[in-house]
Amino acid sequence: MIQEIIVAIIGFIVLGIIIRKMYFFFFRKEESENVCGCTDCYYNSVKKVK
Amino acid sequence: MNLSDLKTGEIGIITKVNGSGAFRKRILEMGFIKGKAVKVILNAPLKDPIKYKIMDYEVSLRRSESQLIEVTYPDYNKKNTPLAEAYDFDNIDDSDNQDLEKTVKDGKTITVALVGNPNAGKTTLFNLASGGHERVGNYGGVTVDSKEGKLKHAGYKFNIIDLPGTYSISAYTPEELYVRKYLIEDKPDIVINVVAASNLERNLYLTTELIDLGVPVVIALNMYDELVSSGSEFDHDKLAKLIGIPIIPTVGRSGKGLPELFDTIIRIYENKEPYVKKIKIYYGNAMENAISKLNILIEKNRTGETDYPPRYLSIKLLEKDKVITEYIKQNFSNPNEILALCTKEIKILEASLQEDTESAVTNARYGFITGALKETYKEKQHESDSTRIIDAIVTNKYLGFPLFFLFMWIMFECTFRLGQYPMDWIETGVGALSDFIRNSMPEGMLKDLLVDGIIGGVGGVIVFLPNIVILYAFISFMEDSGYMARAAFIMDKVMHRMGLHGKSFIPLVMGFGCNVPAIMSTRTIESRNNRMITMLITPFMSCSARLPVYLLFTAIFFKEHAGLVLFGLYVTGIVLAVISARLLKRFFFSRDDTPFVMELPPYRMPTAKSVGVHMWDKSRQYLRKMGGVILIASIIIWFLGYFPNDRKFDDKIEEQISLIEKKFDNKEITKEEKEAQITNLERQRNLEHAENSYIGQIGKFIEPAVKPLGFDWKIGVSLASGMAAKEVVVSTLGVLYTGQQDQDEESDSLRDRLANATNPDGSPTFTPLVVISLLLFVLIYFPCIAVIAAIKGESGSWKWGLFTIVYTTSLAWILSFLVYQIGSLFI
Repeated sequence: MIQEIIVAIIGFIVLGIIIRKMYFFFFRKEESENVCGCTDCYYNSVKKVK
Repeated sequence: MNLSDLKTGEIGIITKVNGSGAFRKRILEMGFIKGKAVKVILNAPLKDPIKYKIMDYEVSLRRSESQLIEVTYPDYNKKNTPLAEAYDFDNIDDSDNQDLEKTVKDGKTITVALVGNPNAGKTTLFNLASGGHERVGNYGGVTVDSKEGKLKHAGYKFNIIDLPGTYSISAYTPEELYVRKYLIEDKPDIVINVVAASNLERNLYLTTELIDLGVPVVIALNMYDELVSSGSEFDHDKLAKLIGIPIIPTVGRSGKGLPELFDTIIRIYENKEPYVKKIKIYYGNAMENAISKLNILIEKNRTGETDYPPRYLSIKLLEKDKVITEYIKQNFSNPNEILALCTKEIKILEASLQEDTESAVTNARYGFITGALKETYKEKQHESDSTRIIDAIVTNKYLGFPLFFLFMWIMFECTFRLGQYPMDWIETGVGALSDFIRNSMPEGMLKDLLVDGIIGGVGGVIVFLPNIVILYAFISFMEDSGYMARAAFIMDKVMHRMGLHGKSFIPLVMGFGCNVPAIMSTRTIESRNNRMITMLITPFMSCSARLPVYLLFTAIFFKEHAGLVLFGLYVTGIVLAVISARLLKRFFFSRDDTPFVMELPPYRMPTAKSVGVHMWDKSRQYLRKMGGVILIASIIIWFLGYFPNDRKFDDKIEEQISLIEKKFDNKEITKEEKEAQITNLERQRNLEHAENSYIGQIGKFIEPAVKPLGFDWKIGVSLASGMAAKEVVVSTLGVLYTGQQDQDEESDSLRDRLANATNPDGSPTFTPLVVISLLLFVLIYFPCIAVIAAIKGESGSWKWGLFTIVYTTSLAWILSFLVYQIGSLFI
């Protein structure tokens, strides 16, 4: 029973991530991190404050 | 005579530059002005393009373009002074010069923008200052977008913006306009003009434009170590006083000079920097007269604050800058009056100067630079250096192409052979983790998710990390050393025959790493048609994300010739790209010849640190993807494959298994018969479960489309899942091909499971012919959604993104179909 509950929670988290990604892709113009999601996204700035 | 008439080793003095439009403007800005000496260094293997040396740097031009430049032989009896009039700093009238406005600055945040020629070292400085890991390479056109980083220094916070490299900020290329727009609209507090010390004359041209623009500037005199080691002498302090801009020597690779640079920026910001003064570049009496008249009219007609200083607007109007002309039309009360005066003044100037106003302005700027350097710079002539020697070999007309293909073959062979060992170690580790969880966790859904979903999916892809890193090490080495620019040089004629531009070669080679930055780097190609074609054929450059799929199957079925098969796949992609380029040129994009003007930087030995940093960056990005897209996709695929979980069929199978066990206990059947019958029932259960799951239903729906290619529904679903990222094809196979046969230590790897996979009728799912058909399909169909989004972003329209999906997928289907069907007749 516990295993099923954990799997269900994981499922909802994944669903939430997908919905968020699709929303940003279609409706929001600003860049999000890892925009292209590919292995080799050169277009992320590492924002560091020294 | 023309520049193209000069033989190798000969020097000519430029007398006139013909041609028009973007090419002429670019060639003037790069220093091809009247009076400059040009030396022919060598011809490319196909006698085109030609490498020249001018102003201490090397540039390549096509033969047809060099025919537009008229030259004479130098007269060695005359003193070697340029024909262009050098600006006389001794006689300037200081009364026009002003201090910068003293405005009270609040706040402790300073925004600085990095501006400079391509390959001057802006991004290297940016990475060092901000701790960023933006991509650098030893060729122009690496940075095509602005990046932001942050730094804290001496109580101030700095926002550092890295802009694309430009030779000037005129209005011809997207990145020039981008930089100018950024400087005007975003108004950074200070501009860091990164000037390559190895190439002062050409680099300072952009500085003169910044002086005209009136923005606060500090010069980072980068690669200063190369200047010092060359033996040349340069009094940068004196130059700083002459031009009113502080100059700080820096060495990008080591970070030397950075603290002093930022200290200077703070002093400028606080109005405490003694070198800063506003000066005017003098364009000659006639031009200054015209500028004054335009200034008066601009001041009279302006409706409010303008973004540009009036003098800058006047100069740009006389240069016939189209963007500024539009700006005048939109922001002034009586633009027609201003434009009419401009036209009149241009006519007068061109009649009196006997040359067009664009050239006159460019000549005046270079005159200013020449005058400044005459007072401050003593160049030491050096003999042939290592760059020349290496170029004599790699761009040799007989050796150039074979060497290039040899380097490519070595790259792929090493990727496979060297990567095999760490790959095996990672695979063993993944297998051990899987066994540990299988043996220690109680049966249940979470255990199935972990073992079959996450470890099956992610584990199947993570093993290829060493191969990806090795591939990138080679690509980085080629970029950082300067060989990439040479490759573009020797390939220009070939690209030209494809209907493309030599500059297209670099994005295409970058596509072997990832198609997304390759598509974005097409911004450096001036011609829109060439840019579009390059973008649309980039997906045929087999990216590193496809490598796991290739390696997986070549390791099973073509182990002895894996390197050759890999090479063959990449060559096939290139051939398809060539054919597609021709077709696109013929049917969609009319012939549009753009000049090939490309700087050839000197060779630089990449440091072990820079190669190491690149390899670490790639590893980090790959691992990040494992924890991101691949993990999510594996979980989704598992969910779709696990549900609906119909227990009725399972219960029926369990009953039959119990029956068989009873028969064995009663000695009605032997042990072997029992095991065979149970195995058969297990197989039926797995098959039933797989086909009735959601993913099975999706797979069955698309199976008719992929069956003619020799694929079953699992392969079809795997290919469809590859839309998110190509590695997901492997992780999906890893999730779907589980539990089909007894799991033991020897058959635990995905390779073994695929090698032993069978169809319902017992025949092997993967035969060499099916694998070739599959590899071709993966090579050709569109890489991923990110690529489609990049094409849409760069082309400005979803139309081209959709075109790419339809074109590549259709082509993949047709070729795989032909290979499989024709191959089936013989095998």
